[in-house]
Amino acid sequence: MSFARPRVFAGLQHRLVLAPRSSVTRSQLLAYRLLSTSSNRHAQHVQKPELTSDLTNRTPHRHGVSTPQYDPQGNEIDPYKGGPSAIDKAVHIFFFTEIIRGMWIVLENFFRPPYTIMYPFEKGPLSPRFRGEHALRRYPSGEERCIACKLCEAICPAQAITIESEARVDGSRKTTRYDIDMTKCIYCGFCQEACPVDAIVETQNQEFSTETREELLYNKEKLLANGDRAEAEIAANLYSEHVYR
Amino acid sequence: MVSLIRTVRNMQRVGLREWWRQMQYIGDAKSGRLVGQDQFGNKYFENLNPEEEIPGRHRWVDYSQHFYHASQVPPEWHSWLQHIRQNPPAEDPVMQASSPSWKAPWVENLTGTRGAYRPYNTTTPKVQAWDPKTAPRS
Amino acid sequence: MASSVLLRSIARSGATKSPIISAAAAKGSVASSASTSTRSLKRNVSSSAGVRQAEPAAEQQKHSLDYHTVEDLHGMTASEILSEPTTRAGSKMRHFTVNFGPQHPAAHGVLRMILELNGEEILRADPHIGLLHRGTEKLIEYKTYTQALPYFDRLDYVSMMTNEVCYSLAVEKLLNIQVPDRAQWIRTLFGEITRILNHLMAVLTHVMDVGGLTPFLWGFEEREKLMEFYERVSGARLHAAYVRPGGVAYDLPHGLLEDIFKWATQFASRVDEIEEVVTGNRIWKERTVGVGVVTAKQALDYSFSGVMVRGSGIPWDLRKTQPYDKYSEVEFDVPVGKNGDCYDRYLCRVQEMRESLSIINQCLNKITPGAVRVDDHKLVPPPRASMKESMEALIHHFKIFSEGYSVPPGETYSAIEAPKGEMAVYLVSDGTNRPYRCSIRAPGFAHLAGSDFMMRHHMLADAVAIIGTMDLVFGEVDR
Repeated sequence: MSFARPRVFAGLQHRLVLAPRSSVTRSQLLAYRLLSTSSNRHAQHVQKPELTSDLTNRTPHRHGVSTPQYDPQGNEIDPYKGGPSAIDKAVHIFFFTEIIRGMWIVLENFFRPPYTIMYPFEKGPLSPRFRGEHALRRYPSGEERCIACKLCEAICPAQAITIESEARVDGSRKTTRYDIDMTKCIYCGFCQEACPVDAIVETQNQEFSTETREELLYNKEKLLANGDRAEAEIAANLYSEHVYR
Repeated sequence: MVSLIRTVRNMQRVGLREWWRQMQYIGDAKSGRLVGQDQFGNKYFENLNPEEEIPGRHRWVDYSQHFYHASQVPPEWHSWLQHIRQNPPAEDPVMQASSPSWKAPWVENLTGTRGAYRPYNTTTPKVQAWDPKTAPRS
Repeated sequence: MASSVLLRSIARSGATKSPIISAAAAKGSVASSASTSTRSLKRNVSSSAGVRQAEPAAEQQKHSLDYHTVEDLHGMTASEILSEPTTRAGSKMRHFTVNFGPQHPAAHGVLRMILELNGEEILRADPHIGLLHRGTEKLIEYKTYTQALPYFDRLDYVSMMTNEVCYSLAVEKLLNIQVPDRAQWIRTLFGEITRILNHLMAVLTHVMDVGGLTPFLWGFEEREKLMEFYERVSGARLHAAYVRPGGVAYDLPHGLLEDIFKWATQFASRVDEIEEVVTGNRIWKERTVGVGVVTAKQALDYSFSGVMVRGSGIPWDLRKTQPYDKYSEVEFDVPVGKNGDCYDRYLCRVQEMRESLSIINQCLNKITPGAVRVDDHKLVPPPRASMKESMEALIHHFKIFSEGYSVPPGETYSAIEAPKGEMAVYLVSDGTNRPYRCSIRAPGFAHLAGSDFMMRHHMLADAVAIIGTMDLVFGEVDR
């Protein structure tokens, strides 16, 4: 039942016969050949005419078919009137003027100093407001600041913070658990805004990527250690930001 | 082309040997004023001349270790290197005043090594396992 | 059109001489007896358009293989679809369907598009969305009004602050509060910075998709500078969480306006550079002129907004028609296209960057000193200094960060002109501290819905240009 081969043959033959007959339809015929080289008769859609090929009508400029337009008096309108002359256009086309102008800009940029920042050696600017890795701070006496008020836990939109607290023997309330799931954290900075004692802060450190996910489940000791190491930087940033907060 | 002139100029300044070293690490010839050195031996340089270094590339670090890593910069120098503070930590009164006595030594990001952080529980377990005690029958 | 159809039907009938004769003879009997042996003959007849139209009786006995789109197969039973009376070779002669997959680099994220091709011509484009769906609207119903804010950064993640402005304006409308002047100026300033950020991304990825990589890199240098402004003002380069209901989070840092001014003086020449390379380029024009034409009627029918509607010649800009923040006090023009094709929309975007630049300059001149937040500490947290000293301020601080503030019952639809189009939030409050419903109107969603009619009868390579011109970001399309 396969008609594929004879049909293709017939189709080609037919086109060859038809082509010299009418020179007007030649371009359209060529276009037809371009859009379907294989004879896909089964695929011809019937119900919705817009699902058939419409390339010849869609892109008339590619085939040079244009209908003349007339004004109310019946005179033919010259669509190119007022535009650049044919010589102008030919010059632009054959001498690649706009390409060369663009390439000139590219050449200019070639002679400019490169703006690539060689990352681990040079780093882009940051501000004291930058929100990076979290840290828990201590008072200058060495006592930890966090009083387990759980405001950060309440405000955290990603619910990344978990806090548990207990009273110590001296009666002060401190956390026993302060876990931040850094895989959940969205670094919105709400926790450091919420903290009434400036205990949880987001440091300027952004180079804390890890190889495993579990290393990002920070607990209290890790956060306190972050704070102990970076205290000078954190305090300096808070000092420079205190007028805005 | 600009970088060629710049490379030649910086090469003349730092010397051929140092230039070769720089090409192995930074991958670019750079010359500038040595601002300081941190406790790990990383050297920090600055070149504020906008003709020689475009702004944004005017501060850089020369790592002391062969296996360099961005987190080897201690936080005080980090805030200088990332243009957060204007002055290097030794000349920054705010940074000096806010260094507490209990400051811990900086540790680089140890992920992928045996020293990597592993999470653990900081609370006492809430569920006490039943430890059956059998009283000896008399 | 008519001549080509005729020609095609002639070509068809000539191509299959032997079957057409037998089919013509069988035509009368075929209509009554639908046996499987004659079915293939019927299909040969039906495939010739002229014959088909002349005989509507054969319409009733179509087989699944007569159809070739998924739409057509709706309403058919599985046995009808699966029965295959013809040979395997015959069944292969159908339109080719390809996945313009979620991993395609020109799909701008996670767009999956099923394209039905006739050779290289797209007959039907079927966008599949939802690969980045995070349930933002539902999540917001369980967050306080403060907590819902960071979700808006993550909707359209190349124009962050305009999303925040959109949400903040909705909440402020429900709260019935007026934001201080300086906060409005900051919002306008950063809204326009965001517009430039977005248009740089949109235009230059569009250029890159159709083959020009170099301007993309120049644009990203400028984007880097703008991101640094973002970082200086909010603390994050992308997800700022800076514009809050009741003002902005912090005042501008000292010296930022001067740096923005320095940046603005040089940016115009960078736009000129990009235009010099791209606008006149014959390759770029060949790929965009006449591609993806949207008529004004189509744009309105599909509820397009932003550049997609302005490119078709409709001067519609919410900053002009219903000004918010300080847009009524700045002067700017709304660029409008003529032909509604990709090239016009590109020109509109480039011109909008220049207009944004002029708005930024006006903001820098007109910005006033003063407060950046409303002074109602039941709505915005009090300054930290007073929070540490005053008991009342501390109570307010605790109330805001734990319970949040309650918003009077009501509903609002507040729309802004985001860089991509009309971004709006429909917010329903039931008087509690959480939104009852927060529906987000994302411009990209409507634009993507029009991808089918825009792509039809274009070449496969034009699909990339059309996706680029729609300026899709899947954070907001999928929400």
